[in-house]
Formats: sequence, C-alpha cells, structure tokens
Amino acid sequence: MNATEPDPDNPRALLMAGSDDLPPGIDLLRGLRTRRAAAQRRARRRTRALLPAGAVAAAGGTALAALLATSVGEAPSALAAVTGAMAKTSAQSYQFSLSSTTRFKNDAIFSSTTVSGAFDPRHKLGSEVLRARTFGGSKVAQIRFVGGYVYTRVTPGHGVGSTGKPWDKAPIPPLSAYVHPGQDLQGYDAERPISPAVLLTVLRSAATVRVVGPASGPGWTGTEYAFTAGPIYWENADVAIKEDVTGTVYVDHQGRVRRLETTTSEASWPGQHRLQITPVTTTDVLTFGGFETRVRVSPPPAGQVAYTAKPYWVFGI
Amino acid sequence: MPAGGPARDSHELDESFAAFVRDHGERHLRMAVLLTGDWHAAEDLVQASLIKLYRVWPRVDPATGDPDAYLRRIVVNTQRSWWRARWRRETPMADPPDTAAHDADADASALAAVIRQALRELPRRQRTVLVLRYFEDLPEAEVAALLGCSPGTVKTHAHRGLRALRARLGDEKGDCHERHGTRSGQPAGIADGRVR
Repeated sequence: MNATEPDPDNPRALLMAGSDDLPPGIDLLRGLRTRRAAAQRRARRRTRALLPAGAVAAAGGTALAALLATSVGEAPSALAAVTGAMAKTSAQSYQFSLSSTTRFKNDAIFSSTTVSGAFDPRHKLGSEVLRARTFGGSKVAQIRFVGGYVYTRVTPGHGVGSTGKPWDKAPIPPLSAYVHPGQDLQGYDAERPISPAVLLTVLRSAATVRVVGPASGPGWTGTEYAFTAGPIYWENADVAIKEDVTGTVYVDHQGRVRRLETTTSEASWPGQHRLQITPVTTTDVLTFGGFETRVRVSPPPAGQVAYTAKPYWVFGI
Repeated sequence: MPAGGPARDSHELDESFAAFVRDHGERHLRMAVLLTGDWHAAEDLVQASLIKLYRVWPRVDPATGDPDAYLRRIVVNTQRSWWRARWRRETPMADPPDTAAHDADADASALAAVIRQALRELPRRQRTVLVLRYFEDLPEAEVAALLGCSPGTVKTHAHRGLRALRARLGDEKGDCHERHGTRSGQPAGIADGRVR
C-alpha cells in the first residue's frame, strides 16, 4: 500500500476509496434505451398498470389481495339484481362503448382510453377498436376475438417482433392471469373481451350494493344501483397499493346492464417503506346496447398473423 | 423533479429523467459496486434499477418523493433479490487491474479492489449496512427503515461489519507487506491475477 491508503478507522473514507476506480465509458441509460426500443413495439393500451415490471403478472398469483371486504348484505336483493343483470347481459351479444380516464389528484389527466365494439359470447366472436392516449403518445389497437383467440394489431407500430407481421394471435388468457381483483373491472386489462361480467368477481367478494332509485336512458327505463368495494390491498417488491372502488350500475326493466360507472382510487399503502405512488383515480364509463345483434368477425389473413403464446401487446411497458 | 402535477409529454419526462441520471447516476453506481463487488455487476444493477425508477417517474409523489432515495431503495432491493435468486454469484474478480503499471491510478484501482473484496467477504447484510451507513451516510434509523429491521440491528451489523472489515484489511496489509519486495507493493492476491 502507499500513502493514499485510507485510515481503516475512517469507514467513510475507506468505502469511498473502494469505488475510486470508476472505469470510463459506463452508460447507465443504455439498459433503459434498449428496453424502451422494445417497448415501443408494444402498445400502451392503457397505463393504469404503469407499475414496476411484474406487478400485474405477479398480482394474480402472489398479491396479498386481502379483500378486507365489507359484508355483502345491506341489500341482498340489490346485489342479486345487479349480479344477475351482469350475468344475463354477458350471456347475449351486445355492443358497448367505454371511456376510461386516469387523473392525478389535482385533476390533471394521466391517461385516457376509449374502446368501442361488440361481442357475441355464444359464438365467441368480437371486435374492438381501442384508442389510448398517455404521456407516451397515442396508439390505436384493432382487436378481434375469434374462437378462443385474440388477434391484435396496433398502430403506429412495427408489427410483432422480428416477424414484422401486423397481427398478433394469442389464446385469450384467463382473467386471473395478469390482473389482481380490483384492477380489471371491464376485461381489457386482461386482454379479454369487454364484458359486464368481469365486475362480478369484485362485487361478489367485497361489495355493498344498494338501490338508488329509478333510472332511464335512451330507449330504456330501469333502476340505478350504487356499490362500494374494497379496500383492496396488493403488493409486490416495489409498491404496495390500496384500491377503493365505487360505482353505479343502471339496469333496465329487461334485467340487462345499460350503463356501468366505476371510480377506482389508487394510492400507496400507508406505513409501508416501498415506493410512494402519487394517488390517481380512474373513472370508467361503460355503456351497453344493441343486444342480440349479430356480430360478424373473421380472423385476419393468415399471412399477416404471428402466433404468440401470450398476447404480444400488453398494457404498460 | 417528477411531478404529480400536470401530465407532461414523453420528451419532457425523458429530459428530466436523463438529467437526474446525469446528476446522480455516478454516486449510485459507486454504491452499487460496493454492494456487488465488481463494476460489471454494478452497471447491470443500476441499469435495472433505473428501468424500474423510470416506470414510476411520472408518478413519484412530489410531496414525499425523493427520486434519489427511491433509486437507492430500488438498488438495495434489486440487489437483494438478485442475491436471493443467486443470479449474481459472488465469485472472485475475473479481471484484476493491470499490475504492470505502477502509478497513482493503478494504486487506487488495486486499493479499491482490495477494499471491495474485503467487503464482499462480509455477510450480505453487514455489507449493505456498512455501505448505506458510511458510504451513503444515512442515519441508523433510515438504514433500518430501508432494510426493514430495527435501528439496534443496524447498529449491531455496523459494529460487527466494521470490525470484520478492519480485520480483513489488516490481513491484506500484512500479506501485502510480505510480498512487497517482489510485486512492487501490489496488494495480496492482485499481483498473481486474482483476489483471494
């Protein structure tokens, strides 16, 4: 050793010396640039899931998902009416329109998404057009459901990986594959057809439902119901999230869901030592109509399709 | 500073993130090399951590958010998960500094390698506490919060870690002095192409 040797009794100097040989040429942003280049081939169909990698995937299997449920039962008939309407509506063909907006608590918009389309559950046919706008830009996704598969094309984009083919074909994943119970209230977070039945899981496990009163809309009359669900807790290595869901369901006199409004408030779990997330609130308005109309969808030309075991385009990075 | 304020476009986000990395990246890299023991692993660790930070960059709470502290937490947690997964095996350094050149840079490099090797021989928890406590200069309570243990445990790890580190460096010095005449004063293990 020479005269530059630090004093062992000065641990700070010792540790500083332990990193004094910083080599030149290290590019700390290289990994991010590589990752982003790959991510740009995907659509950010939605950014509610703008959470550390694995958060969405892990949540289905390992999240706490401790549904500290309020009891179901303030109005059992209300719950039965709502869940019954959801089940009935999702069992017949329907057209739908969804508007989803995520805002910071100061009301600034973080992301906004619209989806419109139709689905025939009996024949497992559906088509959707999804338009998403986030801080990362705008994307349009065409989505087709044929049989047990989902076909997706995103523009602007470069196609599916190195194949360059514009359409991705993948098996429709189970609802639990990518999302925790409170995250997907309509179906599209999980790359599934949008359906009123998706909310059933939340309502049946952790909700209070009550009758608000009569309601009506273009061409229908019925009843308005309100519900609250949660708090729903989930976590991974980086974040711990608490969600509260409130909503309103409009059911017509034929027992079909006409309008479904949900508000999901998302914040960090108090008292934990992981990343503090700026609270956001997502408002979803989903309307249904055109019941029992025939849905005509065909798969894209085979030459334009690349098969992947899991949906190639996913939410978030 | 990441904002919870009005949503910003991707260009602005990228600019602010790149500026943050320019200003703070090197210090986190230096912390990472003390945790991992070699620069390649440190670079991987910080890059992976920056990817995680970037994902939450638009949503870091301006009231409680301190991206520097966030990144430190991510680095420590990521390194811990890598260690758990044995993704980064703690193996002897493969590429020792060039021992032919005996100048100030070579001395600093050799000294740094010896210190890191001594750190690497400590239990991971002790090593992490030493790095956070003395390199990052965090108070015991903050280290405890970061590692999910009590301040008393931090104090114990720091005490034992320092004692072990001094003992190891003392051994190195003794060994080094024995070899001094034949290897131009290079620390033990460096001269023959490896760190023990």
